[in-house]
Amino acid sequence: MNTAAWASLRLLGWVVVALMIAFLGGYIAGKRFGRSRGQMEGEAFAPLDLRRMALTSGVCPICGTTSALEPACEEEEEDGN
Amino acid sequence: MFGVTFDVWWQLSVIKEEVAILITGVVIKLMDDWLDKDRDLCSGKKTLAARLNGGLLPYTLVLLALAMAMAPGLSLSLFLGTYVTGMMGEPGRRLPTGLGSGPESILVLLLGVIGSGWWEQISSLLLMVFIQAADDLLDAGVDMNAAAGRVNLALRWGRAEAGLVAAICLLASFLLDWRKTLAVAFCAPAVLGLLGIWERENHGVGPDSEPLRGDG
Repeated sequence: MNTAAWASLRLLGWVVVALMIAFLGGYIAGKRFGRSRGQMEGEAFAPLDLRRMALTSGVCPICGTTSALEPACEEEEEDGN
Repeated sequence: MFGVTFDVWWQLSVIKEEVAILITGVVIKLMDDWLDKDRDLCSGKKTLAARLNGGLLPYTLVLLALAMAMAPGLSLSLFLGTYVTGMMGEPGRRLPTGLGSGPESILVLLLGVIGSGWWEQISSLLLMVFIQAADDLLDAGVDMNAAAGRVNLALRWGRAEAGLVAAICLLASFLLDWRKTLAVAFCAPAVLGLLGIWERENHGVGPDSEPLRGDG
């Protein structure tokens, strides 16, 4: 392999290294951003989901207390009939 | 190949460098095993370092002196590269010198640059980071289950990140010094394999212990 070909191959290699470093930086930033955003969305959604579970089953998903009222879904079914 | 003439002296210097890399590899492995000695003994492993115990220091120094006599810049840069890489897993730790691991790493790296030159030291550091990250990727499963709390870059950074860092370091070190990269890529598994075989044959592994590192 002549010197010019070797030099261009080396240059190509350094370009690949630079692209891989950019990819690694993007991957780390994306992972960090995605994690914090997922955390925020989870925190916002959790109370609504817990409330839905409590209303549909009539049982508190946190402490297990049973409501004196009938579950909401059964009321809806009765209304529907 | 690549404008280099294959004469006898060149071949001899290549063999000398290969042997120096192999000896430095043994020194690095012994040092690593010595630092992990107590942890390994707790998990039932008795490594060569634990077996040599007090005799380890003189033997290691003799081996390092031999490697330094054969290829001074190469051996020094590889040894100091390992020293810096070893401290990467514990960034905030205060070391016996009184310095934090970060400043001490920079100091050691500077000494390496003065002793062996920029390219030699940087390519050796990249190679050692590659070996550390690749080894930690292979050991990630074992280290995740181990209660000993071994520092593992693949678990600390994430497997994808460690894999990418390993690939980047391998390619960059190959571009800086392809001959050294190939030699180290050949010597590292050879050292791990040979010491692994020695430990197994000398009943260094307890019945309930994990398989030795580098056994495949």
